[in-house]
Amino acid sequence: MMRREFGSREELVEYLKMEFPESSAHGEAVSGTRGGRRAAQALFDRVNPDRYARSRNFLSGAVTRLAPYLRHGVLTMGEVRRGALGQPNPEKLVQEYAWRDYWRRVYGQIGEGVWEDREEPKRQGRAAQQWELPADVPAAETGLACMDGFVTELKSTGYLHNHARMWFAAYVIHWRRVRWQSAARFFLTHLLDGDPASNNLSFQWVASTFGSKPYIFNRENLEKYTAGEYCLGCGRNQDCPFGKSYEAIDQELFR
Amino acid sequence: MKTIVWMHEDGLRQLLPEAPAIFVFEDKGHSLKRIVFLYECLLELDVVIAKGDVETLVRKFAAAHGAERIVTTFTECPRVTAQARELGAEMVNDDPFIAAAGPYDLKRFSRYWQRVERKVLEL
Ligand SMILES: Cc1cc2nc3c(=O)[nH]c(=O)nc-3n(C[C@H](O)[C@H](O)[C@H](O)COP(=O)(O)OP(=O)(O)OC[C@H]3O[C@@H](n4cnc5c(N)ncnc54)[C@H](O)[C@@H]3O)c2cc1C
Repeated sequence: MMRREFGSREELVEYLKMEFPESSAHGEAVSGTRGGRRAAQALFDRVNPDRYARSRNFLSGAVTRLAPYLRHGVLTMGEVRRGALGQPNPEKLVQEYAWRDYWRRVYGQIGEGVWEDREEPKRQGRAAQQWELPADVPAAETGLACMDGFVTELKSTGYLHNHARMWFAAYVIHWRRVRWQSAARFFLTHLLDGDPASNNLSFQWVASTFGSKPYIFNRENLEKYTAGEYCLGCGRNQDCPFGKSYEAIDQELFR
Repeated sequence: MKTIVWMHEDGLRQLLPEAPAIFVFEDKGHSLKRIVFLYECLLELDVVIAKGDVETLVRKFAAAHGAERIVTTFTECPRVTAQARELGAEMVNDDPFIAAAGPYDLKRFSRYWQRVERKVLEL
């Protein structure tokens, strides 16, 4: 039987470090995001589907941050759907909830098959060949302020905005030519919402092993949706691997 | 019939408020921050928290309560599903996204969305 009474969060964390010593292999960070129905309810009460639809692609946008609570069934998919429908302009948000439902249904069909390529990658070119994540990536030492920033945020908070997840996945798979599985495992370890369904199948969508074309991005796109936050002080500002047109990047990666 | 609830990671909510409930931590390679999050969810619930082998501990808990019926939240997770089968636990899908089960064509999201869109956009 494990303990249920704690004087403070610090006391809880100390207890869990002792009970789960193997977890320290992934660092000792604890997220500012609290578990439990109360914290979930506070976020749920603030959901604004109309603002969500207009701003969700921006890192500063009105995203819900409900994922860890949905992932663990603290909130049900039924209640968040009904919550959205009670407000103006719910379509976009409900469609995003539907993505979660869709990936979970696929998971129900293929189970551990989420770890294997669903289809052949669509553009071979310089296809991903390496299995291991190169050490500079999880160490946040690529020198790219964006990617290093995402890794640092992921490891300390257990959260990343959807767009950051897409950029990171594309960078690792297409630019660094790493098989998606190692990056997926890295995400699953650190995300509070880590889910083999949404996570692995989204990585496969970026890789084009579950989708019709590989997902790529360029600097202009990243700069726009991050309001330039990363590029401004980036040491590789002058030699940015993303600083080209989509055509040029396509040529370079998949020729 | 006396019932207990086996609570697992995909269903951290009170499924049957009157029935005694147990949650069992297994070694899943989680980071400390994920474990803290899960634990904080559990502390708000009326549930016994344990660590070790799921099947052994859930069976013992059921026996201690003289329960013949084990109920758990529905999940698509293959591991939990196999454990539930092993325990003879009933899986309950208490508040799904879509009431009708399908089956849907899952080849692409667009096909699934075409089929469910109308249903999920009405209250
Ligand atoms: C590479 C990659 C890995 C991902 N890994 C995970 C994961 O492990 N767990 C996870 O829950 N989501 C994952 N996602 C999907 C999505 O990025 C997150 O659900 C979302 O960013 C969580 O933040 P939020 O709750 O603020 O989302 P919001 O934008 O506010 O969305 C509301 C809810 O809708 C669902 N949702 C939104 N977008 C998606 C999506 N594209 N796919 C599935 N569900 C979605 C989530 O449950 C989310 O909480 C991943 C996406 C990518 C590209």
